[in-house]
Amino acid sequence: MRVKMTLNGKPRSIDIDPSTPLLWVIRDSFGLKGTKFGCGAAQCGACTVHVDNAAVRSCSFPVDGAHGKSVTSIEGLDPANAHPLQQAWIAHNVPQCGYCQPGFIMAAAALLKTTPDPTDAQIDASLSNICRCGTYPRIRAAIHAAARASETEATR
Amino acid sequence: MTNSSLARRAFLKGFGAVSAGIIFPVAAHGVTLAKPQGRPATRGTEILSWIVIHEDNAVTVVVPQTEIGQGVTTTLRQMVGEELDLDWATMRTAFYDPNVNKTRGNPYVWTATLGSSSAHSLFKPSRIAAAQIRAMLIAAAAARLRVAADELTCANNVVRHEKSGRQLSYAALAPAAAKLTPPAADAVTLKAPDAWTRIGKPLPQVDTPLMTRGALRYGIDLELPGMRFAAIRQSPVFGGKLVGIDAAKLKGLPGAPRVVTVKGGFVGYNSPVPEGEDPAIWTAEVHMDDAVAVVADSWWQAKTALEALAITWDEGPHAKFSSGALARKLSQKVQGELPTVLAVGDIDAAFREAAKTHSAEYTYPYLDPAPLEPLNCTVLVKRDAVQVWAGTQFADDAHELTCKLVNLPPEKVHLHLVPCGGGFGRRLQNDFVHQAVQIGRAMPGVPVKLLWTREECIQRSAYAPLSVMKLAAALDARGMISGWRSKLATAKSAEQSYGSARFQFEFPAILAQYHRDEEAPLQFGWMRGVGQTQYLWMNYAFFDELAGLAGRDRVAFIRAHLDPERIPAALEKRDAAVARAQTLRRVLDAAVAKAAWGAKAPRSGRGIVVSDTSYYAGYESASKVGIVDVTLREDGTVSVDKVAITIDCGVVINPDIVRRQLEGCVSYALTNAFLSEITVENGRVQQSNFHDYPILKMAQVPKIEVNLLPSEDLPTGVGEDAVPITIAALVNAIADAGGPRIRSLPIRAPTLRQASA
Repeated sequence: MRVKMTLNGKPRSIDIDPSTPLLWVIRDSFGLKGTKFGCGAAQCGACTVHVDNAAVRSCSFPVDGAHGKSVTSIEGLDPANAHPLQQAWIAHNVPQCGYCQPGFIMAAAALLKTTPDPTDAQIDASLSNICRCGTYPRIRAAIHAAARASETEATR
Repeated sequence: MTNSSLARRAFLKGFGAVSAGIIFPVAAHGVTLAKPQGRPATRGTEILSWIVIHEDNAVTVVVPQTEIGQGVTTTLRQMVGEELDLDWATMRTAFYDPNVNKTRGNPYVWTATLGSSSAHSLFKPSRIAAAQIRAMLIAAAAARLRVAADELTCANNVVRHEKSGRQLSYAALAPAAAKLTPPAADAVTLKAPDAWTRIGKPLPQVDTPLMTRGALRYGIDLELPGMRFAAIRQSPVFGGKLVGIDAAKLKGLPGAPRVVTVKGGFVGYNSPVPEGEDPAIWTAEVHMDDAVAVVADSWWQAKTALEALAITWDEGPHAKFSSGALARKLSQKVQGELPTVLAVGDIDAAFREAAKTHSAEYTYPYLDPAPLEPLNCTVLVKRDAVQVWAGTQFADDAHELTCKLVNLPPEKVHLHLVPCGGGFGRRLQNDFVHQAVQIGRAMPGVPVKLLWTREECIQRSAYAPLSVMKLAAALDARGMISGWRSKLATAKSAEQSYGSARFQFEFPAILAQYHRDEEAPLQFGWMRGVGQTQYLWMNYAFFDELAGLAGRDRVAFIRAHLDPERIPAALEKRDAAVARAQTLRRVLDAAVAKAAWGAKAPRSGRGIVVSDTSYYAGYESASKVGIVDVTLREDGTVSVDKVAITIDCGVVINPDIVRRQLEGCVSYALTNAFLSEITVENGRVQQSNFHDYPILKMAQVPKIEVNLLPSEDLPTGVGEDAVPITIAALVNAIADAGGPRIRSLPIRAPTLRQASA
């Protein structure tokens, strides 16, 4: 099947088995390696990307589900690291090994789109990703900081 | 003293020796290292195997360790940059190639990434090497400028002659400097701590901006022209053998899949053994079972084709193996006599004359360290040269096993280390490298990337061993512990008796016994905290039980048992034992002063543990206190309200990295305590992915407080220390709150309450 999508703002198309997970199309067909494989079962969230603005776990999302849609991977969030979440991540020294962080950032970015100033409970409910290094307290602090920064930006 | 405890001391002597200064051989010049991530590299001059000074005056520091999230690429820049007066913005890092270590006589001293030793093992050698290089640059400048060396100063990659105002860049000096004979390691003077401007500062982790835009390349991200991808299925039963493969169903599948069989057997070792040391103490053999790989044009195609394959296995002698049955067998074992590893005083008399005695049995399950990046390895085998890209914590072993498999000398085999998505000990076992090289050997000239599924990672890991410990103690009339007896029986394991037998209390009588079941078929592996995590929590929980039995305040009970007056006059290295007790008391006092000790709310509890992970008094180890506060809820859950860690870990190279390591230890500990367990029935691991091998999530993380105490001692490990003390303080807190006394992990009840619930 020929699958067409917009990936990070650019039109892309590929002839591929439609059941192939979106993750492997992004990583191996389109060569964007920032989206990570952790479990292959939608458990860990390392593969989180946006499909039409909603966070999806691309390891368990067949590529034909993205047909005709707009997909954003970590590379498309802000390549200059200028997104408030990326800035907050850097300021809070969040990562350890860093492997899960693109997935967390993409999950958090989707949360901030619908909930610009999330409570701890809202963060807990929407970020069920796994960080084996245990960076969770800093991720929480960085999301709150990014929310504040976005608010300041908006009221300026 | 028994043979085992003597051997343990040899272990420690060996480890101490590796952090002493050595003479560094002069290396060849003009080496172009693998391109560091994120910045372009120009050609440069390599000096003493540790650094490359590039033509543009940037400097690459060679990292003789694996980056698994412990921050060594940052802390090593701080240490080398300090002694070489390097401009932070010009510094890069590149991982060492074990080939260099092998062919130049081990210039990096210590390279395996284990035992929280990155800071500890690099602190002296890296600064000494940097100081030697600095002296060589100054000597080259003195010759060039025709001035005395002591008139020259270094700053920001430049040697400067203040009197004349002349200066030379390191880049201009490097080719001449590299030809000089380096000063002896003991002839260089290191900067005094009060002159440090980089060590001790919370400098940001260097790779973070790459991570936040998805640009850091891990092993899994590697891509080479013409690369093919391998998926693998190992024997589902431990010890199984491959009988046959029906590959008929592969015909017509996309991606041109082909089958490669991987032969099981001896792989290598999971820790280095210093010359003259006893391998039985330092390391364990790594073995793997037969496996079948499918190689295709993409990994998804390879995995899909592998699933279509009909594979017949001979399930072998362990087809009926059950971890539950092993736990019962180990529990039987600890009722009888086991081999003694430590005997102090008259244990029988202590129990005979006791005012009170108590005994209890503790268990710990099999666990998978479970780093988040699934195991992977890329190989390119050519007739006369082999390249391997691997996220291994033991690159020297990976290099050696590759040389053997392809039958080439060390200089023909290059092992490229890559940043790892976590390690936690799993990557010390190079089974995945061995498999990848076997696959690559079957496809000469074609680069192949092997990637395991999460299911393979969980079901074919190298596991922390299932263990049962029976503890018994005698209390004297004053409520002090007069005798301590531990009997530990474990599944197949490296020698880890130190976790049960070697802790900081010098009881008048101690008998520690230890048995390892060699029949249990699961591969042993190191896991964060190793023997300390598996057994120290048992010791500290049982110690807390005894405080209750003695009817004493916990803090007072701990303090009393750390009284230097109680340390026997005849004890070997008594001074070190006294210093150890004093340090622990100091850390205890600091932790207690920091924590509010007010009236207790109903159903709330506090647990406290004081610990180090010394193998014996005088062995450098971080000293720390863990305090955990909990509240039991009506619905049968427990809230972990706060975990506070107070630590003296010697010189802190980067306080923010130390904090992050300790925060990480708390999450790791709570996962061990409440969530994960590997069980085996019919020779098969019953868990398969994170739905049944859960890891702590955001909603379950408590408030964490880290208190770093100032110190000028040698840096000690922080990556593992807080795991056992958090577990022990947690179970003590649950008991203190009126909950059950937990003696077996994972905790079944109470369950962990969501933090924001």
